[in-house]
Amino acid sequence: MKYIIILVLISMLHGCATAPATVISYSPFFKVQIPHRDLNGAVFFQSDSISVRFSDGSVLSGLIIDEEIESLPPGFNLAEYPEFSLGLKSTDDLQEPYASLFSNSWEETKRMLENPAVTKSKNGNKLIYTACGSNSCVSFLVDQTMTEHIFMLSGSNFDQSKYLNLLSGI
Amino acid sequence: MLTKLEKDNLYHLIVAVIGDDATVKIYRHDFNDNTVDIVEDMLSADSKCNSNMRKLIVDLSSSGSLATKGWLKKLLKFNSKVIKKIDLKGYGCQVTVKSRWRTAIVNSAI
Repeated sequence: MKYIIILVLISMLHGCATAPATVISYSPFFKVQIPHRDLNGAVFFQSDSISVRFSDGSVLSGLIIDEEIESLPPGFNLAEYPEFSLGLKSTDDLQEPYASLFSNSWEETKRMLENPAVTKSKNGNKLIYTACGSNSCVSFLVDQTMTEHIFMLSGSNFDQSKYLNLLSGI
Repeated sequence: MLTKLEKDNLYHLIVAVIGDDATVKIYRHDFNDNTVDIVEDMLSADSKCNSNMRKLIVDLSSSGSLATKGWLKKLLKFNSKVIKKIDLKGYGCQVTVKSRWRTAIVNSAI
């Protein structure tokens, strides 16, 4: 729960080239910047963590993932979590129940996103794994400078280019 | 518009699937037809997260008409005692999947 203490930092960047943005800080390593132009009529709400519903009905949600929250076995390499979760790596070498939990989760993600395309990219120190369906996406971000936690971002009813733009600012 | 009984039944069903949650509990007062649709999708027999869901729903539903959209709304009206006793034996997916459903459920009730 240590990461659930969320700071919403308002940073007005007048006079700068960057558009004014509100920052949701999920951890020192994962901060989502939302342009102010998108915040008119938006609602911030708490579920497992902070989520934002925009005026067009799209919803953005973030979640810090660590060993504790997923009850992963000691020594589990969190950097592999995205690859197991998105079907990029076989779970055959994992013990139960972890193998089934990951493979079932991938099947459920495919069902929820209607057979999404999965991409892997790099932005600075961060590896970004993204699965996007027709109107929803889920991403897992790994900061290569630490393995204590990773980050999940999900967007539902989202324009894909808008989602990917938000993702690139993390 | 859901009755209080339907909202309570829906909440108990959510707890049985993805566990208790303070936020979902608070928002149960504003559960509505959109919430029912989301939970019905979460309980889909196609989901790998609920391997015993098909048998459970057949047991609960007198007609066993799983394929018909809207089955959950019917179930919420007539099976309150049964719903409170059901045991889905755990959710077979990661917390991150549960979290996405939980967010959708809360969002539907805002």
